[in-house]
Amino acid sequence: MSDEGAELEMEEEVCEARRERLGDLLAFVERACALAALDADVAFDVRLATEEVVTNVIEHGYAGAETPGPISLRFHRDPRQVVVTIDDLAPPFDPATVRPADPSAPLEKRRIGGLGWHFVTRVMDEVRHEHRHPRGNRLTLVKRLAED
Amino acid sequence: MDIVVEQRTPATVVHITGSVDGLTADTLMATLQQQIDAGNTRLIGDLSGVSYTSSAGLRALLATVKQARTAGGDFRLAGVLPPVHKVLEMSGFTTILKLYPDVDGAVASYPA
Repeated sequence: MSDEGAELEMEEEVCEARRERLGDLLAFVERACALAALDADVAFDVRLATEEVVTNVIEHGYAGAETPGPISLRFHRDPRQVVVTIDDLAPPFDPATVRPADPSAPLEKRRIGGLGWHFVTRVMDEVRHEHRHPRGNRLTLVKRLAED
Repeated sequence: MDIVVEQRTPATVVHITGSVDGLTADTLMATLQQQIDAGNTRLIGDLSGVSYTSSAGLRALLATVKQARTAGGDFRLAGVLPPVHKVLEMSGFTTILKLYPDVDGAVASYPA
């Protein structure tokens, strides 16, 4: 399974999008990166982008809802790329409305937070968002693997 | 994540080991906050054992540097490893925080 270039499809991790489950979700992506035998740099980027998206769904996705809905996390590796798919049933998320982070802002103007989405788009090669029917969001994060 | 606090006059060194992520950032924040509240505002974060951080970790660093400077001190980083340095760079934090190759250098940067 850890052979170079091997395919890996991890079983889906599904849980309620609440903070208490963040540990399970982060453990899932760490385990997947290890099983997929990713280079440390690639694993770091995949882990970072996934944590930022998952945290965003937990903290903002179901904001206002009485109880949070589900979040599901899938991980697929083939010889060319790693694909992480995050699904939720939250109200539509529009990436275009995310206030861009300003890495050149001085300390006084820095907001606590607001960096997560910036990291996602910086470290992944492709970030796709789809509205799911009848509701929910799907974010697909793609990291291409260097060819030998 | 493990945290060990060491007094190295004139500074206070907070040695951090492990991952600073959404699960651990609050604990780190609380530890750093305690030091500032106790008047130890010349802080050093020894990150030589930190292999991963996310925006949750940076939130703790940013809040700490703001508070330390408001209190007349500073929060400086030592021994930042390449992957964590990349995150600091992407966020522009390398221009906000002072970075030193090791703890000795960071301690020496504070006037005795």
